[in-house]
Amino acid sequence: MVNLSYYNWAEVMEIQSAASKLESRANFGGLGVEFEFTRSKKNSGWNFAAAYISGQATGGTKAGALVYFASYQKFNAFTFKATRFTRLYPRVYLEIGPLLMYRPFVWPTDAGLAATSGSSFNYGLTLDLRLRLAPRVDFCQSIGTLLTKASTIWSLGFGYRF
Amino acid sequence: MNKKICYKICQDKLRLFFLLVTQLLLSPLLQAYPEFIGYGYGSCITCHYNGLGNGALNDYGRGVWASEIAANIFSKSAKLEDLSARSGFLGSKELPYWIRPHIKYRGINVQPNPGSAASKAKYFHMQIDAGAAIAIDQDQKYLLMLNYGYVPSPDPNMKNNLNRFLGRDLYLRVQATETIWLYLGKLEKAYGLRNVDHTSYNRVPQELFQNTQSHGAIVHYLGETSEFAINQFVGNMDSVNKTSEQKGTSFTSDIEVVEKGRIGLSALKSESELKNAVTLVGAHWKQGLSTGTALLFEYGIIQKKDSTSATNGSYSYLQSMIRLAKGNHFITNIERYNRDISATTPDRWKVGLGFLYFPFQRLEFRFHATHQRDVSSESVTDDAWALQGQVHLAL
Repeated sequence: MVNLSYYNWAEVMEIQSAASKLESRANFGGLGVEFEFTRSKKNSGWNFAAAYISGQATGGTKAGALVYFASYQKFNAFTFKATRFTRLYPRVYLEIGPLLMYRPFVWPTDAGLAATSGSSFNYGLTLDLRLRLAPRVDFCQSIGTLLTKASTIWSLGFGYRF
Repeated sequence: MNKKICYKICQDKLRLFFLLVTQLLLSPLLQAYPEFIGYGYGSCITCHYNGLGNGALNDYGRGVWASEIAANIFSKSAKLEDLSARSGFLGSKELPYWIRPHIKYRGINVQPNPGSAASKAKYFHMQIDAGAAIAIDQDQKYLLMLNYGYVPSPDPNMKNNLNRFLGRDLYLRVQATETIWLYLGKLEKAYGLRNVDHTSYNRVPQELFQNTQSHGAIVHYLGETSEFAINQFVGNMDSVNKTSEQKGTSFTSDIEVVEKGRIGLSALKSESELKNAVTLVGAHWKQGLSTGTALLFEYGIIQKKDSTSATNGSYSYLQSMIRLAKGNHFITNIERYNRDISATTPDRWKVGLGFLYFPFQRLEFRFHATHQRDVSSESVTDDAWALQGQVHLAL
């Protein structure tokens, strides 16, 4: 299945000057293409999926001791997940499994302030729901968590089954 | 008749009277479940007295809940027709055709940001309603709905505008022809999907709040596979602040396009005496997928104007319900709202998942976890989580 989805997740951001540092938040949102391979056509089995996500990030704060804010920052990310699925009905299945993410991204420096967020390599858990709307078209939604200096990740989109 | 028999009859009547009064005093809120298209019920009139959904269940709706929806944990071996026969207000005791009382309570325990130091759970009595459907004739071509509510903890935005005791649904329903139904009185405005969550983004930004029923008239066409309704409303005439009441016209439609699949358009235009104007246009889709499993979607635009400003917002609402076992459902929701798409206001996203459980007819439990995040190029805020546990008792 090829799945086109919108992804969104948050990361913990650290803004640093020579003398001090401040914790803030960053948000990553973008469109992703995911290729999913199913190992079983039965009511349960394993799915393996790899995705490429491209989007824009926003992070920082406009108030406080250290003022750093950056938006419209382009990023690319790659995810891989292995999920155990259970088909509840012919048109409905739930899946859960570990998620790995690689997100090479560097925040720009601004007036002597440097910022970092999350981690280039991250990992977490994802829970996905798939609803088959037509013989080849699925509605896909997922919610999960990234565990290294990040938090909830969710996505929604449509998948086409070949 | 000897004194003993006379005393026994009086005692029975007194018991029945107290039972009725107690139930009326205890009661609460009535909502619609458009996701039950997954059970094959695409049209609200099948189960509700109000053909556009929400409000008291009719006899058939009670029977469906008892036999088809609920888990019936105490009567698993009972025949479906027996469960249905016991679903009346007084169980299997049949009431005269002309009266169908109802009582409803909804309470919710909300814990914002669980795990944080400032997190404090709070319980709200959301709805306490009681009333009756009074059929003027045996075919129910003429029917009077009386449904009163008590609002124990009003929304702070509404409390100066709201009587604590309010008539929610007070209307005369007339079936004019096979396909035309008329409603005159106070009831919900005709617009969009009427889902249970009155805080969802397809209800709140539209100002279709829990307590904003309006006086007016509705003409409802109910065909085999299509429905259309036009609603002329004049605001809540019982409001303590009449100048803020919205007066206007709304429209909604629902057309079956595939099996268990319905699409519709809605529109609403209204203005208050204070010149606060609301214009809504929306489209919705209800799709049943398997037994008890369905997907709901609504998208719309919201234009608001007052004497100094105007905003053009948009909203999306998506809910899926998956039946796990009889009476048990897994639910997810994804909602988005932007107050003004032409400005830099954030996209406000809500993503949630939970369980909906009907152990037996008359009782419902909901458990829901909701995640909220603002997405904007102008600011980044902390995510918010809320845990909700809800009980719904409907007699």
